[in-house]
Order: sequence, then C-alpha cells, then structure tokens
Amino acid sequence: MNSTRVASTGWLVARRVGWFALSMLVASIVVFALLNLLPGDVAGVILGPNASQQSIDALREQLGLNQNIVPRYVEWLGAMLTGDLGSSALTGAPVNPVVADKFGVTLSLVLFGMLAAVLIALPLGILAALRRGRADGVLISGFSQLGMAIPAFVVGIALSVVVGAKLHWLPANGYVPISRSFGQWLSHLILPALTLGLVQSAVLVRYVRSAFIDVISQDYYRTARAIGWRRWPAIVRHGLRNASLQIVTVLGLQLSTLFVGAIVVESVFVLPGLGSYLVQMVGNRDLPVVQSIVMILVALVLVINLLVDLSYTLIDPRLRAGEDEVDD
Amino acid sequence: MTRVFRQMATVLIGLLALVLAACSPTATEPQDRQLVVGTSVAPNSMDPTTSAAAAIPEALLYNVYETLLKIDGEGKYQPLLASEWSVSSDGLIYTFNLRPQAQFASGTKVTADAVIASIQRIIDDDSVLPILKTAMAPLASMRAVDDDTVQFTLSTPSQNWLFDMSQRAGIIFDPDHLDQLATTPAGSGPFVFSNWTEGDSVTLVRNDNYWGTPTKLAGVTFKSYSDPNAMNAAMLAGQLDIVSNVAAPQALDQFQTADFNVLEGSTTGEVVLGFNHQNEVLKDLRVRQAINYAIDRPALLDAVWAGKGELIGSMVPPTDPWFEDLSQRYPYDPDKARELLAETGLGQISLRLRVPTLPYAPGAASYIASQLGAVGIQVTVDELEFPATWVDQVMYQGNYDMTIVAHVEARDIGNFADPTYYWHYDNPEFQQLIAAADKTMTEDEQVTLMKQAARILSDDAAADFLWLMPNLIVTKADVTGVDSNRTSLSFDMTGVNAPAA
Repeated sequence: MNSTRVASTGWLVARRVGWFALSMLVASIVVFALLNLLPGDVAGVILGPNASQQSIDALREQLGLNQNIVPRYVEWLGAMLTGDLGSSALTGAPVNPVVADKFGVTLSLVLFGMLAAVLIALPLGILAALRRGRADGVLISGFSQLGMAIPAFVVGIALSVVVGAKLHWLPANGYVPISRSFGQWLSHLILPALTLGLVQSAVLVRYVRSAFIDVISQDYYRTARAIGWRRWPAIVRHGLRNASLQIVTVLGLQLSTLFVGAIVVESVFVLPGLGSYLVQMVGNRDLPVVQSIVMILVALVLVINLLVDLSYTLIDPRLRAGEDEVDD
Repeated sequence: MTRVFRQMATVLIGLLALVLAACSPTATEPQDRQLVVGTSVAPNSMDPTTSAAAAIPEALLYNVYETLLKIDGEGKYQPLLASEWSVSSDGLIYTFNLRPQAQFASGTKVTADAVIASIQRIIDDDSVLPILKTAMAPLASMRAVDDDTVQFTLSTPSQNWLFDMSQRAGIIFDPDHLDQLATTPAGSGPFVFSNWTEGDSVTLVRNDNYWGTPTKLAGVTFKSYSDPNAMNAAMLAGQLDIVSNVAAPQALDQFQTADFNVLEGSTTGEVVLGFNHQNEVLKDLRVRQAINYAIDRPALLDAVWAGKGELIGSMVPPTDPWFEDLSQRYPYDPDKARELLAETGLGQISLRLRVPTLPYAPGAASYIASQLGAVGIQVTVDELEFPATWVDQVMYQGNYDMTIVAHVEARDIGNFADPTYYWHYDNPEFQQLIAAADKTMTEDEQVTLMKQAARILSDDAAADFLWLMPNLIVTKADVTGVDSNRTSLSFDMTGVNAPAA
C-alpha cells in the first residue's frame, strides 16, 4: 500500500467519523427538544392524583423543570460526553447502573434473536434458491412476504398465548437472570428471541436466497457437482463460505433494526430490558432516563452503520478505489 | 462435512443437557414457596412517602413496613406495632404502648424514639409528599414516655389523624436507614426487602427475626404487567401464584376452573365522573343532576366492567364505617334529565370529557357520551395518556369539563372539602361537616356526621359516582389467606399461606 493510499484511507475514516459525530449532535438536539415538548411532566407523576396545584408548582421548581431549555440541554450534553447518564428524576438514583443492567437483557435478546433469524432464514433461503420457480420455492418467498407484513407484537402475543399459556411448553413471558438459573434464563428467552427472529428472518431469507442463486450459478459450484459432490455438501462446503460475506453484511445492517424491534418484543414478553424500560419511563416522564436510553439506541444504530461502512471500504479494495476516484 | 455436523450436534446436545439439568428439581425436601404476585403498575421508587405511586405501598405496606395500628379487611383498627392505645377525654392526647419484642429487620428494637424519628421525618423532610405532611398537620408534639410508650399531642382532635397513622404517613422506619429509603426499604414487617428491578419486579423474603407470627412463605415477588393480557397469560402458564387485581374482568371466565380460586371483594377505588365546578354550565345543580339521571349506571357497569363492582352513589366504599347505600338517589330517568335541562334554559350544552388511558375510562366515556347525547348534552371524548398528560392537563391546568378516574386512596371523601382540588367543588356546609367529623371524640359521632356529609355530596350531585372498583383476585387453588377486600393501598401478604413445593 503506497503512502497516498494510506493518507486517503485515513481521510476517508476521518470523514466518516466526522459524519458520525455530527449525526450524534443533531440527534441529541432533536431528542432533547422533542421530549421536552411532550405535555405533562414528572412532578405530576411523583405527586399523583391527590396533589394540590401548589405542591406540583413547588416540586416543578425544585426539580428545575421551570429552567430554560438551553442551559438544561448544555448541562445534559456535557454530562453525556463524560459518560454520565445523569440521575432519574423519579428516584434520584444514578441512571448508569440501571441502564447497564437492562442493556444486558436487551443484548441477550438481540443476539438470540439474530441466532434464531439465521437458523430459520439460512435453510429456508437456500431451499428457496435451489427450488427457484418450483412450488415450494415460491411458497417460501410467499411466507417471507407474509412474515414482513405481520407486526412483531402479533407474532409475540400468539406465541405467548399458545405455547406459554395454553400448551405450557415454555414461560409465557417474564425473565430470570442468568445468575439465578441458566435453564430458566434460556427458557424465558426462547419465545421472545423466536418472535424477533421470525420477523427478521422474513427479511433475511430473501438475501440468503439471492446470495445462493449467485453461488449455484458459479463455476466452482458446478465443478464441485461435476466431480461428484452431492448437492447439500457442495452448498455447505463451497456455497456457504462464498455467500457468507453478503449475509454477514446484511446481518450487520439488520442489527440496528433488531435493537429497535427489541422494544416491541420486550414489552410483549415483559422482559426487563432497555426497550420496555424506555416505554415505562416515557409514561412517567422521567426525561433524564428517556433521553439517555434514546441516545444510547441512536448511538448504537449509528455506530453499527459506521462500522459496516468502514468495513466495506477497508475490506473491499474495489470500493475504496471507487471512493478514491470520486474524491480525487 | 460430517465433522462439522458432529461438532454442532455435540454442542446442541450439551446445551440441551444443561437446560434439562437446570430445569429438573435438585432438592428432595419440600421447600417453602416464594409466591409471585402479578400487579398492574410498576413502582417508580421504593419510598412510599416521597412518591405517590400506589404500587409502592401495594408491595411494602404491612409486608415490609409496619404502622402502630393497621386497618383490617372489614375496615376496623387492629393493633400492630402498638399492642394498645388510649385517647384522653379531650381527644388530644394519644398514648401508644409499643410491643417490647418488636424489632426492625436489622435487629434494632422498635422504640418510642424510632417512632418519633419516623413521624418527624414526615414533618421535616422536604421531599416527603405534601399530602402526608397534611396528614400530620394536627400533630402538636411527640414525646417518648419510656422506651415502649410514645405519646402524641394534637392541637385539635382528629379522627383522620388516627386513620392516617394506620396508612403510609404512619409507617415506622428503621431510623438507621432513613437516607436510603428510595432504593432500600428498611422496616419491621414479616418480610424483608430483597431486590427491586426497576420497571419489573420487587422481591421480598421472609424476615427470620420477625417479632410477631412469622410468615410460612419463603417470600413474595410482586411482578408488574402493564398489559392485563400478559398478566393473564402468565397466570395461565403457571408463572404466577396470585393476580392481585384482574384489570380486564371480562377475562375472569378463563380462571373458573379447579386450578384457580377467584375472589371478589371491594376496594376503596371510587370511579368518579368528576365535574369541573369552575365550568359555568356545571355550576348549575340542575345540569349536574340531569347528568346523574341520564346515565344508566347498572348498564354502564355491565358494559364496561362485566357487571363486577358495586354501585355506591357517593364517595364512600362499603368498608368505611359511615357507608350508606345512596346508589338509588338518581335512578336512570332520561325524561327527568331532559326536564331538568329544559328548566335551565341553557339550550344546547357541549362538554369535553377528558379521560385517562386507563383500562376502564375510555370505554365508560364513550358509553356516557352516548347516553348524555340522548338527553341533549353533546359530549366530546378526549383520551389523555396516564399519568403524565392527564395529571398535567386535568389536575394541574384544570383544562377539562368532565373526567373519569378511580380514586383509590382510602377515605378520600375529604378531597371534596378542598376547593383548590381539581374538581373545585366549593360547598361550605360540606366542608364544615368534614371538619366537624374529624374533630369528634368518638367514632359514633364521627360516623353520624360523615353520613350527613356523604348525603350532601349525593344530593348536590357534586359528581356522578359511577361505581366502586371490585377487588378481583385470582389465586392458584392451593393459596389461602388472601383477603378479598382491599381497605388500604397494601396488598397484604401477612396472612397468606401456600403448601411447600
């Protein structure tokens, strides 16, 4: 790699990171402004339906809710930059440990959801590619269309009621920390992960299918078949490796939608993760908590996109060359 | 190829074995049960004195936190930390004899000084809810006669003060832990706080050093469900032992099997169609009476709450000593309503009914809107997110004509005596009666005056008292000792038992 190329790669990375920082800043302004425009505030929630106006007034003053929005924003942003998520307006307790705790739940759900999505989409996608034009191939494509059209909460409620409440095969909802019982933890995650995975696999199956249609039209696959490999070993040995780059890229892009999807799934399955917590705290107008969680989710999505972007350009020389030409 | 498959199979079998190992019971002796109670709201703090959320006393009052005296399922006072108490003949001096054996979970003895420290905190601490400070307003001084005797002197006689001493204002906290109450409750009850997962659950375990009759349960977990269907699904799946209150009474039928017990009792939650008495039209008694005549409450209750609940006719639940059935004061009579409205000469009346997004309110609102429409009152229904938006718009800004909400606090009839409260109901006669009832020397006198006050509310159509929320509890068939009536905010687990598992 010559020095010009290194310099231009450095510039590229710097530019992408710059965009990331700018996006974060704009997002923080939008999030803060929008949340502060919501009617109602935490004072009324703390004092409840028996409070007098005077006491609500006094509490608003005490909590600094009557302060100007700009200094409040600056203070919040400053704290966020040092990694301090602030304190809950309701309890006064620091937000950091609570969020860290809940993030673990959400992360387990997302990782299991992704695993489920791959386990469902991979065989179905390959089958759809091999059976292209035939009835079962069409059927799989049809199911993936249908899967994309059904909202996650409908799938979740159906699984919870049928598998949990009626058949008693798995817990209908709830969560047990891994520290208490591994088996319980796993059994509580299966239905939510399956819900998330089913919805995601509907999207993924189309990418897997097209990736494998590519693969089976390649010379190396035909050669493998010609020298006597049977179809599935040939697919797994040669096809999977070659298609995996495309699939992993799509998975990376889908990771951010998985985090967003987790909000709905956590609420349906009463998982104490970041998503269901966010929904509750919006109801309570605990803005310091809500702002922090929303910004974490925004940052996650942006970081994932940044990494996908950078990995494209750094890994695939053709893309980088393309960028260089445009830049120069 | 086969190697890959073999490896994958090994991993899968290993995982399966782990799951099975973790799921299968390892203990051979029966173990005391840790019951799981499903509740509908998550607590937003652990301190029942600084946050109004009803979910906090629901889990902690009487279970973790004790008061000098408590209120039982029939609405009667029972001794708790105090074995007995006496009142001076002028109604000003209350003397409580503490149980010498009473101690906090930390092992510290419950002394007169600890009692004084807890009540003093209610008075002094700025973060304590104003409503609790108001409850202690009649208190002039406190004094420890000796370690086990505490004396309160009131500036004026107050029956309400004694009642409030049995509720969250009267909780006796462990004096060594007053600074951590928002996250770590510390009391003297049969259960000790173990863990709070914000937005999810509160776990209590048995207090092995409990001074009184210990619970046979290993503990109790209160798990919150914002969606009633998710709670029902968890109960049907066997994950819950008790559903503290079925928020969708239509769903009760699925629990009418041998696996479950269904209890129906009463609560202190009056569902009130509240009027904004600052509204010019609603200032007219005839309009308020017309609204009361125009609404068919039994039919409303059938339609909205599956007929579960009671008709009350005033702001008094049947478990209060001054309850009288006033539900027939305004029988359904749309013609009478039209007559009254015609008398007012107001012509077409339009009112805004702004209701919280709680399970009962929107359904009741549309029903009421159609019945009022039938007598010529045009009603626009507005749904407001609860609590934040509803509290802000209705309670704080007073931006409404009518609203519907269940007032769950015990003995909250006194809210009608406060003209600054969001109804802005201002009736000097009622206010005097409430004040006089509070200052009576005996409960009998208090009952007489409170009955008069309740009748005034009814006659004056101060609101339309739609129904009293039922207490609909579902338990697993082997769970016993759950009180079917709910007379305080506590979900009292102290008498509950379940065979060891």
